[in-house]
Amino acid sequence: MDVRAIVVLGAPEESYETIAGEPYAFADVLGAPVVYRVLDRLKATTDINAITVVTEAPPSTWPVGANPANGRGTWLQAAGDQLWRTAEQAFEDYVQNGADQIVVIRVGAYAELDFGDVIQYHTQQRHNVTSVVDSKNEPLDIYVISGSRRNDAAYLFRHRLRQFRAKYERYPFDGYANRLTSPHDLRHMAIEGLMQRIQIKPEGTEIKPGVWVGRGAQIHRRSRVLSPAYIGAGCRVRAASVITRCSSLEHHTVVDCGTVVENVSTLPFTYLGAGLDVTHSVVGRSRVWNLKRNVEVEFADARLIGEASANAPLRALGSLLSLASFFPAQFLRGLFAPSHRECPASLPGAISTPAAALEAPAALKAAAPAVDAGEFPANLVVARRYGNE
Amino acid sequence: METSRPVIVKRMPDRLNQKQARMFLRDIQPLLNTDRPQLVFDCSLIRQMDAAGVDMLLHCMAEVMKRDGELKLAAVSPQAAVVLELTRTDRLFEVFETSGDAVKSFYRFLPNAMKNQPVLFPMGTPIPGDSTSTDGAPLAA
Repeated sequence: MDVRAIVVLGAPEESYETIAGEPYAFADVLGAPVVYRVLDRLKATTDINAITVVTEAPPSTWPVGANPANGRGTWLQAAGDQLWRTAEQAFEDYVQNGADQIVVIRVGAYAELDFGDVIQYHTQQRHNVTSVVDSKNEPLDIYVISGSRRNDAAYLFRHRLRQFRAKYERYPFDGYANRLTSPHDLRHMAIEGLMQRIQIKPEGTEIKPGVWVGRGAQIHRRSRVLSPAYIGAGCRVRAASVITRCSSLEHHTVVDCGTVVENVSTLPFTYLGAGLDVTHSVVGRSRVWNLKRNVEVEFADARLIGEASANAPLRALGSLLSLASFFPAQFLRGLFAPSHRECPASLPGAISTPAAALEAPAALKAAAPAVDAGEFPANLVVARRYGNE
Repeated sequence: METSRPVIVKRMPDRLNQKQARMFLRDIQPLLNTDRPQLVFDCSLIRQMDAAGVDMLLHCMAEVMKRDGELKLAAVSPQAAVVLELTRTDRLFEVFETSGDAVKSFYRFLPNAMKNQPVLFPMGTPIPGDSTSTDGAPLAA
């Protein structure tokens, strides 16, 4: 039996199912884009003769390795609003080339489905169209269509997979399905993967139980990575930083010194500034999607949240420049910056001055009691006052 | 004798980048220079705040503390809350849900307020409706 697949990367509505302007299908989860996870699952669970991926996104935004040589199918860019028309054309081409059954998937959702089982169900029941539905009977936008039902397929594509021309059958699926419509869903998928509750595996080497590290990642020896966690390829985790609570750093993320990363997923090429507390969020493209507060915050200040260049030579040049400017900056600071320590004028003053390590922060030191006790009424025995007073 | 000082509520702009932060600081500089200033910054409008905005808040805090005053934040927008949490500065400020709550908080523990409180139940007398005596033992029926 000749089975082929069409994977449509697009949403029924514009600006839906996108994160920072890109479809969730392109977002990396534990080292691989969601669309690759779907394609790999499709190939692993059934014998597929050919796959066509249809998207409106320009080739420059496609994930690395999006070509047939890597087993990722043939990628087509649909012009303008011709996404569904292009998918319909791909269906007709497959039928003309002799396909018996065609699997149509809109990503969309990620479902841990046994595609072989769905095709078998479709064939045995002699259905024309089979739609996979979740436990709430909601469609997961996964269909198996018989090659002979060209008009049914055309009708389905023209209605963006929302309406059927004729009677169809449902294939109930109660396994793991993630609709990927919000940053919460993306984060949930990473957590489930790290906790090994779903079948996606982090792309990298498990250096200790529950900690996966991608190729070329650099983790400073004075940083802490608490299991489970994922550090993607080419990431840099600098000194005194902490990665904890199922955090997932996608490739080329930089975590600067002293930053705590807790329950966070990053998008590729994210820069997290020094000394931050990044918690309960999805971070990337100079934005933070805080999952607790359910808010998206854009950062114009690259010292806090920034984006590293996707161009490797540019990144290397940036590192060289920062290294080259480090020593002159330290030298100038040593020459011109005022000293924070004041030398006591006399020996008694010197021995009564507390050690530098015991000194309170400048702001608190400035707030030393300025009001003497005489200001309070004489009959007041106990007065609780706030803060520094 | 302790007197009540005014509490000044200042609404912050919707963007707190370097330019806006400098303008805001210029606006409030006279307030910071007063003796024991009592300030509330209403952060409900803030939609974007960068490191300069956080620096400005810390600067205000330091100035107010130098003069033995207090600075509180009120109605912090979710965007501002995320930035404050991210930069670990949220723990340095007292934060209130509304400006009204923040203003009221200044008057809560003043000695004047405590001094004029009437004593309703002298020590040792049972409080009506209370099932325990002053020494903690249950009252006889």
